Amino acid sequence: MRMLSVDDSAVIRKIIRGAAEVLEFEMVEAEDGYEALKVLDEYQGDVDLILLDWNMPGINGLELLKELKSSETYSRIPVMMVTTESRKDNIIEAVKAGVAHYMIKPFTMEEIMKKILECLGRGSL
Amino acid sequence: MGQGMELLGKRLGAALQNTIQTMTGFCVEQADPANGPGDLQIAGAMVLSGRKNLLLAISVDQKTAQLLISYMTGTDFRDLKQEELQDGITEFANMVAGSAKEALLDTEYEYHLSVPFTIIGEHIRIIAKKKTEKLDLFFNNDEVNILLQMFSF
Repeated sequence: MRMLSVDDSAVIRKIIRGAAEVLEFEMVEAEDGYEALKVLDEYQGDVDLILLDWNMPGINGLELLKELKSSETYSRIPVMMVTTESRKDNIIEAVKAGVAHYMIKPFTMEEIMKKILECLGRGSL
Repeated sequence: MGQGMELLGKRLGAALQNTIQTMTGFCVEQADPANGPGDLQIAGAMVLSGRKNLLLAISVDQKTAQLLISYMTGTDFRDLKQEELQDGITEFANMVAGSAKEALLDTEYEYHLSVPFTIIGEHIRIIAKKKTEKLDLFFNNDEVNILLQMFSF
């Protein structure tokens, strides 16, 4: 299993990397939307899950999500938003754009691992 | 201090306590600011735009930053880079603002999030102009000291 974490915070990517290691998943990362598209190109879309922050410089998470969902190559990859945007209208907007799961920061390590497994249809911890 | 600012302080203070506990396991309690947060060296800040514009800042000393980010990432504090400490404290500001956002819906302080930024240096002080409404809340336990500041302008 390979996950892509897209977040402008290196510390959040480090926490998610820790979760990926426990779950024995490979993790690749990007610090913004442009880099995420490059990484996806590099792996030719061979990514099983994308964890996506919302508020990032450049392309924000919602814009990237819409771009991914309109792409023939990447639309099949499930996307989980991992964000501080907690308002219901934000969540509805993301769901309409095609997000599979939504995780609100702050979160514990156990919560993020559980959500990752749910996203991948792998049951719970 | 107006009632609105008091409500803002309560919501953001509760969000700070929840964020710190969830991400690091540390419980912090509100304390008298007169006891002082000490020499602040890293601040994570965020502009919150709405009917009223706000600046939120979370400031800590070096030791607090090391402890919080060490527990947050599961990394020995000696292995943490200075950039990681700055990034982590800034992410706390982001999470606190995000957590309180829903609770402040339909109040004069309803706001949109922006991209957070970092202020670094020795003896950091953020000073506002005279007519700016300002609130300082100090949180601590035996090991960490955190200053939460809000400016409404």
